[in-house]
Amino acid sequence: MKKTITLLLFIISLNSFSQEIKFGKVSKEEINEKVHPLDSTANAAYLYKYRRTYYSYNENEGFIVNTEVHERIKIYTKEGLEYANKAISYYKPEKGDREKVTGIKGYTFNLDNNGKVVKQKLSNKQVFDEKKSKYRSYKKVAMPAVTVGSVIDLKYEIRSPYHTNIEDVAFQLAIPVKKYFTKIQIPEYYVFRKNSRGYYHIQAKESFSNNSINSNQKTRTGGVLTPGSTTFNTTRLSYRTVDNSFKATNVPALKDNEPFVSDIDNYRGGISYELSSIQFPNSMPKYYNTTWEDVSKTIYKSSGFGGELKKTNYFKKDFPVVLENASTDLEKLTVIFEYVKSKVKWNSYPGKYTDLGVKKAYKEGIGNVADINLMLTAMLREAGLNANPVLVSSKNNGTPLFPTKDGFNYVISIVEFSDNSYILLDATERYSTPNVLPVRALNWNGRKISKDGNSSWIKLTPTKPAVLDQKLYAKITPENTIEGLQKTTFKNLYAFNYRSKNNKLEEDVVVTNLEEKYNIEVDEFKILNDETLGKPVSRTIKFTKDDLIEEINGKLYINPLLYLAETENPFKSEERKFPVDFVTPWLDKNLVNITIPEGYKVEFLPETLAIGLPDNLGVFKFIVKQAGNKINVQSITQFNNALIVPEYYPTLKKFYGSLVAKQAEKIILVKE
Amino acid sequence: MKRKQLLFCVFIGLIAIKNYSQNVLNNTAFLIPDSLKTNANTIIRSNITDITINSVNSITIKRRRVVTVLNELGNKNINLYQHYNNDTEIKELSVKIYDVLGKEIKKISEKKFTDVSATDGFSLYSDAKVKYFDYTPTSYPYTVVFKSETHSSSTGFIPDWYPISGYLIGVEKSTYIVNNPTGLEIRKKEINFDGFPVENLSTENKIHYELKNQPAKKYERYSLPFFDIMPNVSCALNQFTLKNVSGEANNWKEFGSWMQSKLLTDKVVLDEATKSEVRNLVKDAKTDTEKARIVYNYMQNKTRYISVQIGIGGWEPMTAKEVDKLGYGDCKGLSNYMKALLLSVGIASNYTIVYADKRRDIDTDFTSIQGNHAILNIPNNGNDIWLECTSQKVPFGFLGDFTDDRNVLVVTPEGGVIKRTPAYKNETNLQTVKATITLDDNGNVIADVERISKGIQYDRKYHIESKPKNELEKHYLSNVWDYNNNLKTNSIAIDNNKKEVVFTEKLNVAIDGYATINNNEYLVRLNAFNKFSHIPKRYRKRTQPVQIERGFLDEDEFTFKIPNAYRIDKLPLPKEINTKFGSYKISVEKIDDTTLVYKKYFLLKAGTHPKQDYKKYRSFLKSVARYENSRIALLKK
Repeated sequence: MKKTITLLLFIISLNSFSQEIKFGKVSKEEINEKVHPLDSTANAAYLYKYRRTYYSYNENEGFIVNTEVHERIKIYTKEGLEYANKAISYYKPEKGDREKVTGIKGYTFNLDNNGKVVKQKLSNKQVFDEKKSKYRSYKKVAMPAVTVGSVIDLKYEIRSPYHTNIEDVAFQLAIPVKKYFTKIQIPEYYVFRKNSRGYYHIQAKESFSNNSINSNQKTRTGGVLTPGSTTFNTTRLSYRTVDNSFKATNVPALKDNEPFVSDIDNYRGGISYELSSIQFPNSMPKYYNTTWEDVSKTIYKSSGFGGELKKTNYFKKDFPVVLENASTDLEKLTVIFEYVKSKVKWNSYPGKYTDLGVKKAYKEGIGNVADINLMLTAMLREAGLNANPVLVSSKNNGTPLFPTKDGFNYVISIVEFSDNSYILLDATERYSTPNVLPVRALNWNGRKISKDGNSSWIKLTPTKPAVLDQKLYAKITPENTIEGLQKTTFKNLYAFNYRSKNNKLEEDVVVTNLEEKYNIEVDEFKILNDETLGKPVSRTIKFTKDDLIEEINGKLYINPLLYLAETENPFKSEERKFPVDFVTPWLDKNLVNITIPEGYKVEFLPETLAIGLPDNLGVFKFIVKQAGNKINVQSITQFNNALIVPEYYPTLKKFYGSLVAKQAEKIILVKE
Repeated sequence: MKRKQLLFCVFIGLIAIKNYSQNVLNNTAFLIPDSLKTNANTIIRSNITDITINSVNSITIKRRRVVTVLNELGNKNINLYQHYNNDTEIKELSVKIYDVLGKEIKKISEKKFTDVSATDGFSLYSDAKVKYFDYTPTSYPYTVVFKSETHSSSTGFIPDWYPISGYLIGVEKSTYIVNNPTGLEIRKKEINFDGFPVENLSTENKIHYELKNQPAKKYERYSLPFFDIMPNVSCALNQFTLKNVSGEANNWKEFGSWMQSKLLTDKVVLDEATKSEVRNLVKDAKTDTEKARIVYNYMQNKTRYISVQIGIGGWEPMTAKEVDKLGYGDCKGLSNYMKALLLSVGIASNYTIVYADKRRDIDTDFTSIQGNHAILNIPNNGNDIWLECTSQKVPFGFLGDFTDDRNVLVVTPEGGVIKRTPAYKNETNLQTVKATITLDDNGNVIADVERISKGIQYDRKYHIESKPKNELEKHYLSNVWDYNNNLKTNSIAIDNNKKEVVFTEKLNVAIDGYATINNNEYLVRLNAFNKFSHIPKRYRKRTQPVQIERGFLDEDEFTFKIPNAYRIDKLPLPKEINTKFGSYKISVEKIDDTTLVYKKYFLLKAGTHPKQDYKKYRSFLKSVARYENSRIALLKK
């Protein structure tokens, strides 16, 4: 087949590194380098990370998106050898348009015995294609002859027919980057919004270049950019591209090795691209979402969202039975919520659009997040409640800081009452309760969409803390064993977590796990409301423990909190560049009551301590008091905020240090 | 550490079923006897593996499995997948799901299965593929009927029978049939039948076993490995085909010869350049061991582990030449490469097949394709040297817990020989900690600590060698001495003596607020740097014998310099516990007015004990954990 339209691209390289960095040529110094000069912990580094994304045009497909990649990797340690293997992910659905990975070329550079640079070429035989799922495949590459010290050059190109989609630009990675260069070149017809994320940013440099599409034969009415035509003439269409260059040297690595992290990729610097409009010559512009209003409206209007929300027929037959005994709004809400949870099970897929559709999901009893929660919303509305869907970005999808359609990948339901109070619901989890959502949905703010398509923000992070309330009554036997009773209630997210973890287990397993956790022997175990979701979970155990009392020179030393003390500061690192994410505000309240054994009196009690974090982020209170033959201990740790910003990390670390030290202090009893 | 298995492990443990049309099953969960439901998350209602050997290069495997899942935890046992590859074709595949009443709620045809590459996460590439179906249960219990039929030209690997495929699974009925109308000689072996309701119904041309009404087993810690407890039947043909390569073996000797001639021959050729490079490296070495050590080091620095399994590549190593060029290979390729390198300096060695990771023997008296990993054996005039070739870090001649103490198949030029790899037991796994601890008046500590580890205790530690400084610091704070809050490392020096297999860590650390000061008392925990706090889980009813796998010996000596303002008062008496599981001794002694010495000896012995001993074992470790917290009081002068 003859090509009737040829594409000429005049691209002037703005990449100033390109003078020094040529694919297939590395310096002796690069191979000789033993450690990364700025980050001695790096197992490997990108000496150069290059990407250029540009559009090209062809007759059959129209505009396609091409991405050229060149990576130069230095291996410093044996652990770093994993960077000699690369899996290039690309979209290859069983049906529909596919991406293509082409031009995979690679070299490994080493020094020979005479200190000369030798290179070994990657053979095509060492590149394999692996089908990972229905939609994704990998090109797997294993670079040859790689040892500690080697430098690798690898390049490839991905061609994507999905012209409205530009892959995120990632600045920051798990290993450092010495020279970073990315250029995104977009024809003037496309307007993308750039949204930056994370804690590292590279400023874009904008420039323009000119391109053209030459059509030697024919075009037709309606603009050159739609395939299929009849008129014969020669057309040359010039257009401008807007080029954004991101250039940096020494981008630091961000490793994933800290506690209380939701998803490290949210904290790595980068930019995502979201299409806001397309306007081809002689065509009407097509607008995508520019504001949160638009985003919400677009989603709302789509058949997989708003359309599904309107359907009610499929459940009408069963509905009267469901609502039979419910009269108040709250009762209706509860029965409908429980009904959806028991009727449709979650298939582990997120989604703001339905997968099977509510009707089929209802019939088969299986659905994705949207199937379930749009169904829930429809039913709540049918019962006369003021219910609306709320778009959410789940924890592993990043924070929705900028108006993008892809920013949302999840949907829950909200019911608002006349007194301005509201309840959030997610029916994908058996043990979720009103206003207690699974952790994955607790990400900052969600976007509520009303019936008229208008939208507004709703705070998702719980306002009510997860509460752990423990009371412990302890007696010391003449053999220095502690016998006691521990009563614990779990509220809100703690209750959800307890039920999700333990309710599927047999009681003896739960008991054994508890014995192992505290190193106690449980003699009686009682759990209340583990399946009564409206109430906190309440657990009572009778226990004995024989290693709590230390006897030194006739004196008894006892930890005031017995086995409930925090013994380790979870924050080990000196600094932290991203927030501490507790997921929810929380409150741990421990009350311990110890009976002083006959013949003993108190010699020492730890002093009271009350400390707080700035901005009312959190407090710790610790009080030990004697009352007759009892010692009462009260320890309260409270965090009013789920997220602690990195600026407060050193303060938080110190706060925890004091907490652990205080809780380690012992009560001393002496013989009377 | 990347050490990985041969491909054929993929096939082990796949549960097989046959389509038994006359066997009309009532797929409701109501009919399950209560005795089977105890402790069970899943009930195998019926599991039929029906294998027919059609000829030396044709085998048909029919599978029919009816499984009732009682709760969420049982979902993992429905195994709705079927592997296949270039020489194994799927003829039939379907799944039906039934609800609690036995009503069909879902029917899945082969077309609806997801078809993907069956790579195991380590493989660069494998031609193995798998079709699977992801089912989301809507209610419990539910019942799954899985049917498949595959046809393969490889008869070298006949699926085993493991009627009990895991813990917490009750088995109503499991059937294993191997039809052999061909007259080809077939061998079989039964293992661990004692105490299990297994019946042998075999006839002349048909191997036939059944297990019925087996209640679920619960996993208990410190029990013997799964394969040593559970019943199993394996079968093997004397004449077989493996990926279009024909074979014959009646015993290990012949099997080894077959491997040697069909899979290993011509694989050890190397370029002259590589040979002379290696020869040059060893030119000054005096002994073969010394030479082998240099060659091993060369191999470790030059290669990395990657698995590529194509065709017979699942069984056959890549050529040494190819590994030499690419600088990578899998366990087979790397072991064979090492063999070729050794050959070039005149040292003979043998390719060796082993079951890696969880301890499992190659069956001494049953010859079949076994094992899931390859290592190398240097006979060294009767003083065997064993080499793990997939790690860039493990010392020469050291196997660690990955392949220690088990029967392996050594492929010698004279054929296959079963040998046993070295065991690391008890005192061999020695760790000594010596510390000088200086206490100040405010309860703070400065200490010099030296920790020396050997044997399996070496194996557990040497990986940290390459950690960068800040991660090492974190390692000591979070993993090693997490019980010492406020610990700071002032200096860390690590010496990994790979030749002697000794790992030495020398640190200077500070611990603020280590001692507690109350009025005129100064309380110090004696065991500052090697606290043992593990207490085995309590089982109200122990059913399995107790196995302590390797054992170890810890010896500690901490010298305390006491603060100026305090004096030594009463010291506790030495403590000693001796049991059949091991011994524990601690003592604290006054050397002079300002010096105390704390000593600890803790030996845990490898061994297997009857189930009644579990309680005693637990109470031994409980006492140990308690003494590990001992503190003494110093008094104000």
